[in-house]
Amino acid sequence: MTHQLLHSLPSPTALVCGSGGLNAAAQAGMLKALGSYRPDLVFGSSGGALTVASMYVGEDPAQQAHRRWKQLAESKFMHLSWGRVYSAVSGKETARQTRHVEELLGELFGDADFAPGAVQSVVATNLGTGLPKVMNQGRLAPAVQASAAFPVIANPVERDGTILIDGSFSAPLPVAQAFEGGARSIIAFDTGRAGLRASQEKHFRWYDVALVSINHQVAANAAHDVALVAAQIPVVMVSVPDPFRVTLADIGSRINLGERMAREQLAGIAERWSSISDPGVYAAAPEVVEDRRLSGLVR
Amino acid sequence: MALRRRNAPGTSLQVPGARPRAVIDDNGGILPLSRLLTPPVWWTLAGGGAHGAVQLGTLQAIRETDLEPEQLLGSSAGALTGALIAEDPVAAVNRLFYLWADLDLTDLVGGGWVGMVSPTSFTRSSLADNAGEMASLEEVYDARRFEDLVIPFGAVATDMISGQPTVFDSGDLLPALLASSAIPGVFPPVEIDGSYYIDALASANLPASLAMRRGAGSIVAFDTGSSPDKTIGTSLQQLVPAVNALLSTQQRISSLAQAAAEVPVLYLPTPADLPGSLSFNESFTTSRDSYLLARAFLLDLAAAYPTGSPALEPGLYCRPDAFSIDSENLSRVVRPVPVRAAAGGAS
Repeated sequence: MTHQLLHSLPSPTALVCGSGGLNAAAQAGMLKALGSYRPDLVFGSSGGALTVASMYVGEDPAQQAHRRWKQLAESKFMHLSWGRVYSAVSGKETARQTRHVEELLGELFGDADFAPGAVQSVVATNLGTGLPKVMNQGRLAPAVQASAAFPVIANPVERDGTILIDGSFSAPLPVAQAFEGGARSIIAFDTGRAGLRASQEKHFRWYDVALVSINHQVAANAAHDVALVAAQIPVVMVSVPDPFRVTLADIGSRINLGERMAREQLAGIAERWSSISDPGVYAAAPEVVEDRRLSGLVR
Repeated sequence: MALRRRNAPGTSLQVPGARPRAVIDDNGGILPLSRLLTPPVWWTLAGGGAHGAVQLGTLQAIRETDLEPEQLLGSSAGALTGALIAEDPVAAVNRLFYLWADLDLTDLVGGGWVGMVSPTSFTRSSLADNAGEMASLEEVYDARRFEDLVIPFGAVATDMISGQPTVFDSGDLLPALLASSAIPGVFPPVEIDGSYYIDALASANLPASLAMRRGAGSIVAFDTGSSPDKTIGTSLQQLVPAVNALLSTQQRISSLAQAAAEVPVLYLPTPADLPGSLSFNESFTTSRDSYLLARAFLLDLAAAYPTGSPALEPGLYCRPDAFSIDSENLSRVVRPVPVRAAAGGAS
């Protein structure tokens, strides 16, 4: 039923993978839930760029994304130390940090290029203008590096004379870029919004609070972009909420959760619609359905 | 005689020029603008740390007109200012003037937020506590409950778990003000009725769309200005303000665009060359510059919509150069107010 629903979407259909840090690993499981279905275009931002960059290297996109997220989890580089935080705060030793990121992305993507025909895009933020920068040509690794250059984790990237940082600051869920790129329907993997029923923790650390504040702003921007695009074309939203603190040890379980929730949500949508062509947000996840910023657009 | 500015040596003091004779002669000195705004008129005040001093200047300028708020809605620093207006609308300008002159948070945020980070700070829930702020609030405000205020007022804070903006407009006033201005990471989240709240900046730093949804007939937006783009660097100290500015710009544009699609929004201009939002010792120049800008804009508005003009249609009424960012969303609602050749002494 899900298969039939996905094929009914007006073409070209774009798969859009959003930000969410390590929670974006859930997208590898979500891809698995799509089965043999293949979108016409793919767009990714930040963590979603890693998923999207994995999709044209082998036969099975889900398996390729799974493998790279697991590889990332096992990488020594990803284990944050206070030394790293100190060097980020002080701006010292950034060259070494950049080299480590480049080595890691080299392991993941080698010299692979973007798929031909602009069907595969990743989005970063131009720090100078604040506007999204869509990349769909040349080598994948440096583009992913720019798209996922979240402060402390990785340094900004210079490209064509501009400085690029993490895509989540301008296009956390790049549906608008997919629409501008010609998509006439969208399947969005949303891994950036906080769970409505996230348990309240009694002890906060100051940097958690600061990060949560950024997360909320980023999620609000994503909802805003979805609202604009869903007024024009259908957007099928699949969501795995971000529980604030995902660690490298959680990546395997996030992938499994992503697969399970995507299956449930897509089945829920397919139960109500056998085919989709009208503009609007099609979602089964409570945190999407109850988002008042999308109210009126959620079907 | 060349007067010198104390905190910027070498720059001559720019004394605000008189307003055009015609304005003063025709209307007894008060600029008639309330005719343009459909009631109920809501004033919405944005947050912005030390940039809150901008609102002292805009408030001074608006006091030269007949505009009055029927409802006030404030975020963060804007909530602190809004509560003062709501408590005593006549005295607010004078009280704010002396409060800002006195305000010195250098001890607290002397080295900026990075200066507060130390190895022992990593397990704490905030870099500073809010006992000092609470004591200041108790000193500044006479009101203890929203019901004590003269004008209906709401303070916006962000629900830390859901990320949704929450408006407090009844019950205890001071905890709501504390929550609204609980800068994430710097001050601790504030617990109210079992939920934790952080600074409104995380959800609605300029609460224009909230005011529209709550029934505003028209909106006056008091923003807080911005700092010039600094050299783009790679350290956190340079990146954090840049990222903050990025996110807050997107947030304010979407809030203004949503509100202005439904009701007229008067967007008072603000300076774009302010020192950092944690520099509390330059509030005099900050408020003066914003007074000059806002006054010139209000005169331009009166000239563009002379007596006899109908009430304003929905739209975002602002200076032509108010928004440099290219936003299709915004361009649909913007109605620039032409700047006249002789702009009342402003730059």
